[in-house]
Amino acid sequence: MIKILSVGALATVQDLGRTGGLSLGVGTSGAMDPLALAAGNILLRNQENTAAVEVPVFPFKVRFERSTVFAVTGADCAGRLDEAPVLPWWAHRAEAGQVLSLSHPKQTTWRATRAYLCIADGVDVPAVLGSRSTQLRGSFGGYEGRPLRDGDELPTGRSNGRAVPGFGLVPPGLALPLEADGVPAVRVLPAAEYDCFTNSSQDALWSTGWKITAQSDRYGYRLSGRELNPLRPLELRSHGIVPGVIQVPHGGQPIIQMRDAQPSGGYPKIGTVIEADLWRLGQAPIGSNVRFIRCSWDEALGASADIRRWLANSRRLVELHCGERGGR
Amino acid sequence: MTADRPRTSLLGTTALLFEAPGETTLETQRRIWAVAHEAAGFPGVREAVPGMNNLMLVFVEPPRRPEEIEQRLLELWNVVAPLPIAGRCIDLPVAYGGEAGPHMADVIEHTGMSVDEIVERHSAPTYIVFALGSHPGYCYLGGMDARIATPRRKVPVLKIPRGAVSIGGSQTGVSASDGPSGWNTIGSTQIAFFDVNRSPPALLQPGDSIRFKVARVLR
Amino acid sequence: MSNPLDHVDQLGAWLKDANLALLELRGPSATLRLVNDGASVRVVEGEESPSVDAPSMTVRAPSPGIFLDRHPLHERAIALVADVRAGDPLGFLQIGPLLLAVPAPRAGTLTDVLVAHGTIVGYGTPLFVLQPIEGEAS
Repeated sequence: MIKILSVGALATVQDLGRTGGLSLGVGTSGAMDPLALAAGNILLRNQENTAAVEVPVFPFKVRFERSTVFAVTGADCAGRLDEAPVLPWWAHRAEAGQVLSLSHPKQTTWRATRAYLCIADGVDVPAVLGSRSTQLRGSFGGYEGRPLRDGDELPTGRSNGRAVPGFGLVPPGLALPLEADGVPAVRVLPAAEYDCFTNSSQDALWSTGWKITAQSDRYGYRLSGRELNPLRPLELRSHGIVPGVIQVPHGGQPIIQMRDAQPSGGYPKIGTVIEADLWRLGQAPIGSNVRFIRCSWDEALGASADIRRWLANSRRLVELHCGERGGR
Repeated sequence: MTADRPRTSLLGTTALLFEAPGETTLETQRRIWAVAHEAAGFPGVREAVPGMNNLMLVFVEPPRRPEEIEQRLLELWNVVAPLPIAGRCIDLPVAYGGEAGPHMADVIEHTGMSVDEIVERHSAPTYIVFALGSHPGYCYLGGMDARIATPRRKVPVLKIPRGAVSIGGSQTGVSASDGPSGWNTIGSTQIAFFDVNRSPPALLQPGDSIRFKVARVLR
Repeated sequence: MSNPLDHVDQLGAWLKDANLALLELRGPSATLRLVNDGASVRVVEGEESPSVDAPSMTVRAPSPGIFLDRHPLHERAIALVADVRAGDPLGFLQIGPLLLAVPAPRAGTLTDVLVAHGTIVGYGTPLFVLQPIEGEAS
């Protein structure tokens, strides 16, 4: 068990998300940076989909009620275990009673905002409709279907002794950088209504920066930049949408659907951020700029393959390393 | 937006969208239900999600050639027999206007009708549940009188309460839980559309229907 | 008891192997500076102090990999002359996405880094010089 001693807004239990509920109106939820979550679980030799705590606001403080192995992936939050420094993206041992503190992320060699506290054998909340992710809109899943509060006691899985402390992973944000004109970027496939926008709107989409406004959260990122205008007003019938879809409401300022987005909508879609780049957006700070890079289907497949390769390679090297250390 | 022929498009690498041509009708929706039923079994498809006269197919993994699935869908659309679903009907008492319907004024302004006319037209039809979406248990309804259609809001509202009865474009619906929405709230009702401890968790399914009963009109 | 000057020959050999021009070794109260001009290594400055109480030790690569003098998310390397505790990482070795620590074998003062950040090193490559702190053995 771990006890939350101090938590800011909107820390939630997340795994890689809930599938199969879209026809009931149930969105996917899941980690905003699924790569950091999967990597943390690989470090601890958990299943990649094991539930962890997503921390978007700091400081954050938690006490380990029994000894375990943990890793903090995502943003580097200058972690401390009692007084000792905690390396990011690193498997650490914690003894019963020790307190982990995370402070506001330092923007150093990789700019990130969300941390993931991964624990050997995971946060053991009940799976609801096939996932442990918190469904905030439906108030189910995760821990009581809500963000964490001070004093919450989260059950953790019984450690099977596979996790080995004392090594780490290099964050994939360093190995797989993506920028346009020095601005962090994500790749986008044009969507159904792309051709319904003016040429200058299409140009603006690809060639200008988009600021992530303060009205951005797990539901969606509201962007500000040049106004995007359709050739004529569009009213669409409601249809299924997915995280990554860039909708343009009548105001002309785009909204990117994120992990808690509703699974359907009707605003015109100018493009969709490819699934393989959503983790980059999940770590983009409010107030920062993002660029969109137009990509082809084959390039999008290549990006997915890059992610799969990084995860497989990490898993292989971690198992090799832990095998040498006498782990099972 | 309607077209002469079905349209397909990509939703990134995650899913594919199929849109039926023509005006929004129950007959078209029955074909959508039929295609969804078949397409859910396509190899590489995780889920087939009906919308309003459209269908989203979610991939297990991005397929190498999505156009093959698009082609298969279009062929299926031409031959499929409509799937009639006769469900149950529930009555929902609605308080229209006032605090219960903060955007009624926008609908009045757009349609040029009085509150009474709008309430009368909104509460007259029996609405068929075409699809579920938006949020857990939410029902997209077919059958709204086109004369009270009102465009979605320029800027979505950050929190609309559970039970809000609203109009977005030519559609209407009832919020199943508190949350953001771009639709115009014209009234409110009380009902639990979704309970994760129930099986199935959603109260209504495609093919079921809803009748709105005027409880009162606030001015 | 010994002092750094007892190890000048060994240090000189590393300096030549690593093709480094200058090696500066500083302890709590002693400084040693070796210069490698390509042909030979000479001591240009050496200051003996009676308070130097333990031999400096070489910390070697526990595995092959790319040597990093800092964590990839950190901007600064561990400072020279910093006191470290036994087990603290002095640097890292990267093998693809895997990151291994080069831990301090015992408490001491980090007096030199023998390999440049980003260099590919083999197993056993000397990486650090550590001046142990007497009485704080691991």
